[in-house]
Amino acid sequence: MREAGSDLTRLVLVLCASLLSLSLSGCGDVGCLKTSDPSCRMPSPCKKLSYACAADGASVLEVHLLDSQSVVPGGEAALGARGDVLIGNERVVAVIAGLGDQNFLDLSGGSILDLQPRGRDADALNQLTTVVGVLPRDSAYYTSMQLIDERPTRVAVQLRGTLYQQPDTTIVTLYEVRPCEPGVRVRSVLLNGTPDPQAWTLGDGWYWSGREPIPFTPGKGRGFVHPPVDLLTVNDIIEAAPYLAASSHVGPGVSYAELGCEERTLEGFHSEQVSTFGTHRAIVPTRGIVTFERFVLTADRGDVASAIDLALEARSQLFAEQFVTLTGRVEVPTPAGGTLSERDISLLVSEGDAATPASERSPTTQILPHPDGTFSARVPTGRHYVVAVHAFGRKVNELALGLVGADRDLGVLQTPSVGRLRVTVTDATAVPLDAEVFVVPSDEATRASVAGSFHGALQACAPWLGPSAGASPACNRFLVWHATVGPTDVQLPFGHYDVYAYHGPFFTLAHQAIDVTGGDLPLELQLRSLGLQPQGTVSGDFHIHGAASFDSSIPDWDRVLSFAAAQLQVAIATDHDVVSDYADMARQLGIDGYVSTVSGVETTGHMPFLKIPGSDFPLVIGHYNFWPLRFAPTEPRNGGPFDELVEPGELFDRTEPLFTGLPMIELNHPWAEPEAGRDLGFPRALSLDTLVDLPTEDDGSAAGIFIKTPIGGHANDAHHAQEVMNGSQNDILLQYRAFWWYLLNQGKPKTGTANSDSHGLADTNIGSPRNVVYTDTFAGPHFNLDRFDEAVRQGRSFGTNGPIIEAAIIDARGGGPEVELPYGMNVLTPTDNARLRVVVSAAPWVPVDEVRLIVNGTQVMLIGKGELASPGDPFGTIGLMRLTKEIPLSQLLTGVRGDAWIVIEAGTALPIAADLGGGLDNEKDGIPDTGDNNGDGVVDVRDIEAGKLYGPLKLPAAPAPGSPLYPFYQVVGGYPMSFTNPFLLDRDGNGKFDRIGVGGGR
Amino acid sequence: MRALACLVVLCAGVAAHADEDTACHRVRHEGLADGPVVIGLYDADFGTGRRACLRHDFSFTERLGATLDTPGFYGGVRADSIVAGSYRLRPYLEIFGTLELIRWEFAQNAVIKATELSLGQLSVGLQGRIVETRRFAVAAFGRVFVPTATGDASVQTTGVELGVTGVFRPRRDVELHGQVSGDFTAGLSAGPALVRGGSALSLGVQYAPARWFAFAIDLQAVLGHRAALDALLPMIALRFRVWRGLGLELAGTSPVIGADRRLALAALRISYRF
Repeated sequence: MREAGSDLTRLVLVLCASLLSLSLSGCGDVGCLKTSDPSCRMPSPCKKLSYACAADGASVLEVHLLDSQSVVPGGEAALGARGDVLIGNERVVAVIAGLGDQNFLDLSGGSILDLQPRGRDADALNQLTTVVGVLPRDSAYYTSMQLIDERPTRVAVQLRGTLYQQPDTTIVTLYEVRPCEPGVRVRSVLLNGTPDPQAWTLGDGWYWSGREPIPFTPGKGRGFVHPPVDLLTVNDIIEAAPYLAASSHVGPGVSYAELGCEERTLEGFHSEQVSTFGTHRAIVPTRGIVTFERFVLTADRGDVASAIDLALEARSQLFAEQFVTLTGRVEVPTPAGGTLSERDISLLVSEGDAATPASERSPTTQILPHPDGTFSARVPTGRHYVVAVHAFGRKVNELALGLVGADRDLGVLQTPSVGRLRVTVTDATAVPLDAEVFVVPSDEATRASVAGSFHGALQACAPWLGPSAGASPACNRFLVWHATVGPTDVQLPFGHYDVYAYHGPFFTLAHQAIDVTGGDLPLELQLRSLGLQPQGTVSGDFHIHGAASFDSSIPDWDRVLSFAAAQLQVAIATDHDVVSDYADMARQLGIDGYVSTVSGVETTGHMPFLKIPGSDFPLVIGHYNFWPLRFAPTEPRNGGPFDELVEPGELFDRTEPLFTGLPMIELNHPWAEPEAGRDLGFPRALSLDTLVDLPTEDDGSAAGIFIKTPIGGHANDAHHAQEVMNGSQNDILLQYRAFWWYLLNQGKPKTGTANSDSHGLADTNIGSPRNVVYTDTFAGPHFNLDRFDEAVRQGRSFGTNGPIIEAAIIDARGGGPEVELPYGMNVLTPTDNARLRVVVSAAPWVPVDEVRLIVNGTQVMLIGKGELASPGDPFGTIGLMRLTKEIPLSQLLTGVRGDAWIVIEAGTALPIAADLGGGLDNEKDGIPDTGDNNGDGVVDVRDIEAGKLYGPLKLPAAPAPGSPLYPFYQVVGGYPMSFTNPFLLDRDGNGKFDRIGVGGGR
Repeated sequence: MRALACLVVLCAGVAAHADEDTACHRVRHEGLADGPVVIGLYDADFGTGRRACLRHDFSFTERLGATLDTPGFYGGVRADSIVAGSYRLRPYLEIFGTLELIRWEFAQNAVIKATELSLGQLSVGLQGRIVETRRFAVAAFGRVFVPTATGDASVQTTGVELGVTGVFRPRRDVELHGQVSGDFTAGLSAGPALVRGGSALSLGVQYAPARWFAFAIDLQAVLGHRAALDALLPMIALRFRVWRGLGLELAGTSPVIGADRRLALAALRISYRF
């Protein structure tokens, strides 16, 4: 027994030693994980890749820090700035965010900000950042960066850091560019130094953010269509794919693709907001290491095929996969010399046969043919394919190819004929006018035959004249520029249409019914000024997005022209997280004489950090607009503030030095639905209970956070204005309005504003709604922004998408003459004999069914249709004045104690709604959240959507043709609404406007 | 490794001679499990208690552990099928080993989930008797991780644990047991070894009211691996003798304080003593 035991002991010891030596023999620091020595170099990724190179190819390799004099690659999503790193070869150029340059989801720098073919100036990439999951802590946080210049072999940027707030992890990423390659090789190595196993998928987060390039992945029923993303169920929709691709939908065109270099498929989920694409999900044990090598490609066309062609070429090198090339030509009825767009033609190549239903087909690539109609694209060999020809967002032809084992010429593909609308818009004196023209199917048959979308993605429209977020024509509308020589031409599918020309709420609406049956169709539309805009006012939209926003693609030309088309006089550029300036474009368009543009920003919280009592979920602070700001294109975020991980007050402090005039801070959409787990409004993030008064000092509660001063400067509630109307649909008006009223009752009056929050031509209309500001300045070359902003601060404005309210308190003090006391932030002390005068007018196409008078949050008077005039012809010029009325203040203030405020509203009836929950634990919070969704005339629990605790709010039904609201709905959407800022009444004579309380002083 | 074996053997050399009336035989029935509750936070049997009395035995254990850290958006479940055995080479020296034959693991970071099925870790060790009297027995042990886990190719884990375990049996139906151990583990990979060390202290009591049943209650403090106090683990085990040397043990624990995020662990062990 003793001998046997000794033998066994020896056996075990030998076994141990052998295994140890085996394990140790495989060790090498392949990821520079063992040392932070800056001289450590990660090995090159994707070693199987090899590209033939012209003799002088290597000479173009470059890697350097950008400074304020650097020429930065351009494009609608270009972000490169001083301190970032440019890396590139003769084919591609990329910008890596410098350390400390925070953008969007990247808190540290180190993400790819820009990527495009060299010389293209067509960047459409918001951000490509390394992640392992969906939480902020799952993103890379780099703390060191080395630029590697090993020309002529390679240039690279190596970054080292940790996962955000996970100091026990180590991540090293290498971006490498070699001569003549069409992309960037990337290698990331991640060490799990935590004591716990982790479920990670090390990959890239593509931040599309909507209305931008959309992801394309091969797979059954996929292509551009992906399952809806719910943060709580993301894991269930993660799928494997051999490559990911995307392309821009505007401008000169650019496309992207990504594929793994070691793994044949990568995993991820995809939406129009974000994609992740990386290693298959796996448990990484403590001390475990994940390595991810990939190739990120870019090509110079606006279809995914151009990037997928490159991806398939790379896969042939990496995995010996074969591809074939499909060629052909499409007969497109486009004027000679015209550039083809996705509207004109788009080919979707899918695996499948003619009999395979769309949901079973596996899209492989999408092609935008060349201007002459020819096309060429690669697909994997040895599969059955079917080519669907799309025009105007609809499939118009299809060709089944059967098994494709070799290159194939598909011949000539036909598309249906279309008509051409030749539009001229003039004013009453036949002078060409900037305008927006809407094309609406006149009947259901036309609507059904022309409804389309971009291969099932982006916004569906009837007719589909182009991607809704892109340039004109977009969705079912297009812009007309006054300086265009000759008519504006737009192609249309055959059908019956109503055409409307629009120039803002103070003009008539032109209308013409047309039949498109082929050939050219001239159309002259005339608009007339109705003189509705009150004297001494300037209209402004304080919330506007353009291509610089991460969720907008509308080119500056279209964006700025839309200001003039809607007769907007002051446009505040408030792109997400970057400062923009439209002044040059306004000059180019020749509209700077009557449109003034202002540089601002909408700070947009991406990284949740703020915790409130009673909730484990970290929050962001939502969105705030700041203007006027210095536009500094060589600075990160064009000079905008770093807006993450701080409470509003501290953000206000940070932004203060950036203002170039009287500072304006606006709380945006305070009660909007969160998106992707990020709140859009601070009060909703805090789950404020508006049934309870705010504390007078920070008491540690969520309400205390709302009023507190985080670091001694501004308080969190120090904004000057708050959006009451946001967006043309008015879909969350009731909630914004309720919160505005709550603050008024709390003795914290803020100027109520009305903004479009437009991101394109078709999401919401620019200037609908807008603010009409009483000021002594004028839009144009002599515009005085400080005076304008001071008037806004003083609440000397009303918000409207159509109706015009002119209101004043008429009072005479001490036997003196009657004077008009305006509404606004100045506190009024009217006598007992004072009267409220209300005058309401509107263009004939804007219905006004009721005027509402609100005192301390309660509607005290409703003036209905019986007292309101109604015009007969919505397209005429008469019947503008709807109401002139004087009401004794004493009548309005009956039963009200103490100070009071009065707001006047005009428009159509508001949808009914009630507060059924919505608080932190779904208790009532005083904010209406549920509409009469079952249509029984009352709002109760039966209206709550199945599976929800409350809601939704129901919008009024779309009006039928012939309804007075029908024309308004076609061009503006939603329902007419306007509101004044409050009359603040100091009724107790203490010289200030006191807190009224949630009881409303009753 | 050889040095460790020598150390254990040297310690064993001072052991008193065994006889039938020593502490290790002072039990209600030798087929009934005894000693500390064998359930631990780490791979294989690292950090678990060892009985002070040497013997031949074989066991099969199903161990289930769950981690739930709601504020940290983290959760996990792990199930191990473990085979273990000990062989008494000499009256004062035992060799023992534990292998995670099947390791199934689930982890969730926020909403990202992953599972894994693999061969787990193997530990082998030696235990030597230091002293044994009528009522006391004390032994020293050492074990090493042999890197056998197949779940992740990027790293293998090795480590060493040394400890002293003892038992006091004032009566045949009552025992007090305790243990002190220290360990370290390290990774073998392309990255840093990330050596982590710590110790475990445990104290417990077993009461055997019948020849076929006993229950044990232990309290273990695990220190230094991820924080000063990793976990304070109250443990309980219900022990049954099924037939002759065939025993069954149902054990469980849940950390009450400490940095470890484990919610609970439970184990069902079938052992045979021969």
